[in-house]
Amino acid sequence: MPITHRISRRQLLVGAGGATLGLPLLPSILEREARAGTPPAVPRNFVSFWSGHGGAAGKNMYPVDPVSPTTATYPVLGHTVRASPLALQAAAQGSPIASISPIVSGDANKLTPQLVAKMNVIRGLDPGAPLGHNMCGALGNYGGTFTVNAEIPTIDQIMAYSPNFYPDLGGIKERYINFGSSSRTWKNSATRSGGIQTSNFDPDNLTWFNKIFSPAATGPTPRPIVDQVLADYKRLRNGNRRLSTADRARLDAHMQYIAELQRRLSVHATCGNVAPPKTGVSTILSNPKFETDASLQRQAFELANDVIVAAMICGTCRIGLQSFWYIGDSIIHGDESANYNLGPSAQGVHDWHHGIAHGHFFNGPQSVIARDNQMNFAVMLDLIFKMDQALVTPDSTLLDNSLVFWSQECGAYTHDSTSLPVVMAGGAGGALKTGMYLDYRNMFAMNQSGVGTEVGDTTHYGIPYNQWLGTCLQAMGVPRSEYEQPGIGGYGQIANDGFKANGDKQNSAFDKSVYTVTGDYLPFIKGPKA
Amino acid sequence: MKPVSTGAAILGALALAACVGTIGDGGSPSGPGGPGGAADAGPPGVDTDAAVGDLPLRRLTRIELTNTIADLTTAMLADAAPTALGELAPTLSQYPADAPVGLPNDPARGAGFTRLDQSVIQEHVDALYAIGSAFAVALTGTPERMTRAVGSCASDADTSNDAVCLDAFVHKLGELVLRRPVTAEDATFYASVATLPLSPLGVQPVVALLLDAPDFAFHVENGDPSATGVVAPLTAYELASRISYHFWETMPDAELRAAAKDGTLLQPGVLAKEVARLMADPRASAPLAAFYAQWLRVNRLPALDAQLGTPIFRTLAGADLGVIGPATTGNAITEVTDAAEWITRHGGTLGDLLTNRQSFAKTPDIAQLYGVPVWDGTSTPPTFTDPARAGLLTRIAFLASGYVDTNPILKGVGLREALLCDTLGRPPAAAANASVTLSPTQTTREQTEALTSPPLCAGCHATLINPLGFATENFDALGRARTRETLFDRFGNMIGTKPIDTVTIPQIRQGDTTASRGAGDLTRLMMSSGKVAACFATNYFRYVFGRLETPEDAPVIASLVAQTTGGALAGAMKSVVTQPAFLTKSFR
Repeated sequence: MPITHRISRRQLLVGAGGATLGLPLLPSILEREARAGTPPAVPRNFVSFWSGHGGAAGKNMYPVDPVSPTTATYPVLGHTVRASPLALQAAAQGSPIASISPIVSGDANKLTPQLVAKMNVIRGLDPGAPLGHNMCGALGNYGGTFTVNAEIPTIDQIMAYSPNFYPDLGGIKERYINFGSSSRTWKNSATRSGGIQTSNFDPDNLTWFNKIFSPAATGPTPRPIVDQVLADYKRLRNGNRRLSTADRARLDAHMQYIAELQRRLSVHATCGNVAPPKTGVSTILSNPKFETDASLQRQAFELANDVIVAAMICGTCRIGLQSFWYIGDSIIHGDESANYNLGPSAQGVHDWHHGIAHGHFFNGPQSVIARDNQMNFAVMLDLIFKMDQALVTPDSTLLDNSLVFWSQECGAYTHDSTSLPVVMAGGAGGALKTGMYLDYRNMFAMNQSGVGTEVGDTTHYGIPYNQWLGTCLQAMGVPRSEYEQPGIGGYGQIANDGFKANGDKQNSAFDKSVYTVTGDYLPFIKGPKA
Repeated sequence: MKPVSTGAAILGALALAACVGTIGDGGSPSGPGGPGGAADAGPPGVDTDAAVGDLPLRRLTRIELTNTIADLTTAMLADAAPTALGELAPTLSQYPADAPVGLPNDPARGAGFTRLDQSVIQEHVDALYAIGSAFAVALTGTPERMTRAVGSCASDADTSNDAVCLDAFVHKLGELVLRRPVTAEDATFYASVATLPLSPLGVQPVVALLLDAPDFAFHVENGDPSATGVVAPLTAYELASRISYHFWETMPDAELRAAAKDGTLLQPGVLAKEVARLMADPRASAPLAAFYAQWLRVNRLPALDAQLGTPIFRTLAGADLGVIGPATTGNAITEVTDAAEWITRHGGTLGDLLTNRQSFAKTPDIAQLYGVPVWDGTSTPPTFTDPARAGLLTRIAFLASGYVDTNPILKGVGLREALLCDTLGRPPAAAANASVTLSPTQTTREQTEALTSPPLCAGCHATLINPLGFATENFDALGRARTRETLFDRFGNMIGTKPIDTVTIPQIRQGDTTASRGAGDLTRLMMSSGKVAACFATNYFRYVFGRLETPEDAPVIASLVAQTTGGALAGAMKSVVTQPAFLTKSFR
């Protein structure tokens, strides 16, 4: 039965571990909205999910192709792209499961028509570079085993250090909450320079909770010394001790981090009587059954969801990152290794990685992939449901003012970047239209025929994934001038000639001319407040 | 426009392609910008570009930080240190772990040295700040510790001596933390955050500020102040730190500090004596093991107990099933690093490392898989009884796959990249969808040959990868010797056996048609090629200097090659510290 009444002002987030976060929505949230002063008036939030491998066949990942979609012609490439209403499939009365597709399905009490109207499922977005072992591909860094590309920061970091995304850091305790490792940032984030490295990540919900909602010290405490720490670095940097130019640059970068620490230490995030979760993800991770118990895995990520939602309700952070990286194969799955019953086609299956993920073109493994990806979507559903229960203005929820999306390592064929699936939710404060199945494939440009495989999945080339990344950034208030290269619209890497020389045709790059039209929002999706 | 393709998911008819890679002489695949060099992106998230060329301000690695805090605590609190360190442990764990930084010939598969991870992220700074505060509390949190750390002058009733007491404390702790003499300016600066009269709360900011000092977090080297030019000799204190952190991964001990204080460390004889002392000390074991594990890439051994629940694996393991557990993987790795350390400490050469036929298994699982008694760790290790066990390449960590069948492809790639320092081209994207599956009729070699026979694959696999892996196919997936391969059905039933074939043409040098009958021949061919010595030298250079090599480093590496060729490994390792590159700092 759908939940029809939302909780405003006084939020109660029930954690997956039975923990309760009492989250009174404070007037200070509204104060912060007013203080931001620049449009958008209500802060917009960004959350991404990432799971490993891909390999989900089209029939499992996407809705059934509509009969009469709205169409448009994609410039330069010249093919027809399509949009149609996103709808739940008919289900037996009383069914506890609601479905957009076999994978995009879940608890009917959460995946309601109202929530579906706030979602999009997007097909036909191609990074245009071979993918594999690229945890950051969905966020714009396609680097991995099969791609030779310079590293670039991911879009979450473009946002995190954008003065347009965070015009006022006064209430921001952490610029981002990162539960996974799908994010890359600059070595010197403050100046957005100095090469690329992994963004800070930690799987533990309590760690992030304590960072966001620093527990008040008990008893007398020594005086803070961060000002003196900074002074000590300046003493070395500007003193008469001999240093190389590179030494000084490293000290400069370090001092930026100290300044960020100094800034955060001065932020006192309070959100009423918010109480820490009773169950820590670290505890779940230490359970010996974790690797083979999908329910434990799901619980860990839903606990992480709670912290993201709490931080966003309280206005102390606006970026959340979840990836399923700390489970083997980076995807929620059970103990398939112990009990293969996948039919004769799966003969010789060793393990999930080779037998399931890389056996996706066999029916048995494909059914497991569909089931496991559904469990991953369920974690996203948990988050967007909770976000949609929180009213941040009298007529809009946290989800309405956010952009949440889930993507995967590869497309329907592992290590093939064609059609990286995107399931998104939230209208980004009116910047995005929702409730659509968006299909950007060129149905006359086949990639994989599927001939000779049991699953028989046919795939087609589409349009650059880079346009989706640019859409995300613009929807979050980051202007194109902050992230685009001259003549290259959108964000993300472009396959280089080294890849082409590899003789691999199935991930061929787009012609550079296509990127002249990828700077705008994706077709059909631009909202009234973009 | 994108081309229209109907490529299949599995390997199909693909154009013939030669192996794209660099099969060299075993040394550095390239300098920056060369094939496989800096033009290649490193693995996501690691700090590859900082590791090329002159390395600015190396930071403490996590293990260096942990060890240094332990030594500091012991120096200040003596026997009260263990309790204090227990209190500190949760905070210390906040310091980010170091990731293995990709090597030029393996930029994205996860091999590399953690010492090369010189990235600094916000978390490092946050953690250091928290560690400083926690260390301050640990050092002064009780009256007893306050007295031990600061002195009785801090807790006596006389407050008139507190200023002097504080100054003495700043000098005492400061010299340890900063790893150099405390100047008058330093003393004034750090003491400025104290509150008098002395109390724990009043002195804790001093401790925290010292722990947050750049001289603590980084290996700050300013060189001999009297030197001119862009390259300056290290001071004695800086040299003491370099050799201490290289051999022990911690701060200099009292003896080393004394040699730095009186300047005698700069004398070659004293330096050589100190280096010999440091290498002989048990504290050198962990860094030595880390070098060997990361160079030989045995630290990437997959979990050997992952398939315990599958019927096929249980059948394969047979009588050995009971000894395989969660610790088996680590035990197999340790067996290799123990072997390497033993050989190094006993005057062994690189040849000895490759051909030694003793078991260093200190645990029943590995010993049983070898079929030898457990080694006690001190007496002469037992010798392998099976003549097929020819040396390093036939130790379990080089053989085991974690699956039911062996993995000749990964074995071959590992040997080619780790021991020969060759660079293999990246596999085509479609290749990862192809996997060797168990066959009821074919051996793993036959399956692998069939799978990699398409021209696009064979360019590398048939010539450079598979032959190295096939050479040890006379060992099964648990590293046990065999002469025939057992064939299974998918339910784990044994349905037959087939003979093993280990004959290959390994092409240690590309184009060499010399045949190998198995692991013994392969080892001899590898050693006689000189590539292993060059590869060792290059990797040890990286480990010592915490960065990738540049063309300017050729003399250091050449010297290491010369020392390694026929000479003792320990001698080569000690010789590095006499090189100008180790004794100086560049200020370009």
